[in-house]
Amino acid sequence: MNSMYYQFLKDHYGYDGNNVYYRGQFIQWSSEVGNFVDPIFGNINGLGPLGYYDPESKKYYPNGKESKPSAMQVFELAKSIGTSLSFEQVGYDNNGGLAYFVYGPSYSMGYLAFNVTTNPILINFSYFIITPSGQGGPEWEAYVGAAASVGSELYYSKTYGTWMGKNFKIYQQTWGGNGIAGGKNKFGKTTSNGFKWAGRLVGAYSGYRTIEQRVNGEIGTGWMLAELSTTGVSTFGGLYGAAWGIGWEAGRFITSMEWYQEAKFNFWYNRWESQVGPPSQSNEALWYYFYQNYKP
Amino acid sequence: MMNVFYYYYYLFYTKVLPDNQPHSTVIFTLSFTFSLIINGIVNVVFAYLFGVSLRKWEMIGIFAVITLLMYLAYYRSGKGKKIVTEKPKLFNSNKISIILTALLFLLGILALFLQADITKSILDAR
Repeated sequence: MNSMYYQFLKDHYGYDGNNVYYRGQFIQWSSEVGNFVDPIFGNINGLGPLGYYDPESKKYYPNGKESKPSAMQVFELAKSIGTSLSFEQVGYDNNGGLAYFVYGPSYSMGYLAFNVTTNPILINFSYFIITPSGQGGPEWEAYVGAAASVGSELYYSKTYGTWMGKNFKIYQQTWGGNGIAGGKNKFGKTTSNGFKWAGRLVGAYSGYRTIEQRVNGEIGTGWMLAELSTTGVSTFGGLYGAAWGIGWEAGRFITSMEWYQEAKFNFWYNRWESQVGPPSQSNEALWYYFYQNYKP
Repeated sequence: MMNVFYYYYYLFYTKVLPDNQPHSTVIFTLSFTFSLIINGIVNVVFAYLFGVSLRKWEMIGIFAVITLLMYLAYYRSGKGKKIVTEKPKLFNSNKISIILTALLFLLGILALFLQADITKSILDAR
């Protein structure tokens, strides 16, 4: 079995030591078709593995075909995913064939990797989708939660003894307001309460959404705990919690940007290249190691 | 028992984290705590017996129903304000009341953080 692919499944789905599960259903490996029945891989717009090479048994399992698919077939299928795919030659496979790293569509932030030969017969390839750390969990909810906390504190803060009028000016609570600023209680407190309750409701929604995502296997335990904690803190933690939520979301936003992922990949690529040299047959194993272990 | 939880949640939101709408906040947070526990139990039982889990809107629905019941029982009826003047305690002990209220809150937090993993592991094992 392809260890990297299996590791991917183990990391993203349930695993009992023998079998991989998704939502209680065994993800079936079929040597006949050379594929798992896999909900994520079914989402790659129809691109499924053309076959699979088992390094342990040294047997090739095509997709129900006797003949091995050509490299061109792989390219054509990969291109059918979308026009934003780009290919970068990164090294050679065991038979001296070219190895490519394929960047998936930017919106999915996915990466696809396989090794192909130039003969042109596919002897071994593997692909994996790596979602950036910024995906999963609450998105707009955390923004709204943080905005609600800030808004609530701005319009009426018991902590700071201030309130904000209709003219967006901050006043001390010793002053009750006028026609321009509105009333301290009638406008400031009421608006503040509106923000507060919006934030709380969004927080509750976000919490249950995160639980559902974890049960569905869309996010890992660590990510779930971080999201639930952050949602709670940003929604119920007042001004400091709101600041935490904003920082958290800013980090998520940056790490999900394509330029960030590219810059990060280039940094580690250059660093690895300076240590082991450019990809070649002599250091192929080291480059294979790099691509196996690189995580966006 | 519920009255005691209500009163100590109220004390928390007036003395520890003061809120300008303590009664509404107590109803919301107490309902959320109970909904987490109930949803957690339902999820685990359903996963074990039927191999299914609640979707987010079903869990939110349970939360909404609990909130509505709490609103009718404590806010609309005026019982919440009455409780604050009565100051109910468990076994007439302030300490025991605080401990049990803290345990309820802890149970809610545990349900929040653990129910998904427990449910998932049961579903995965089926």
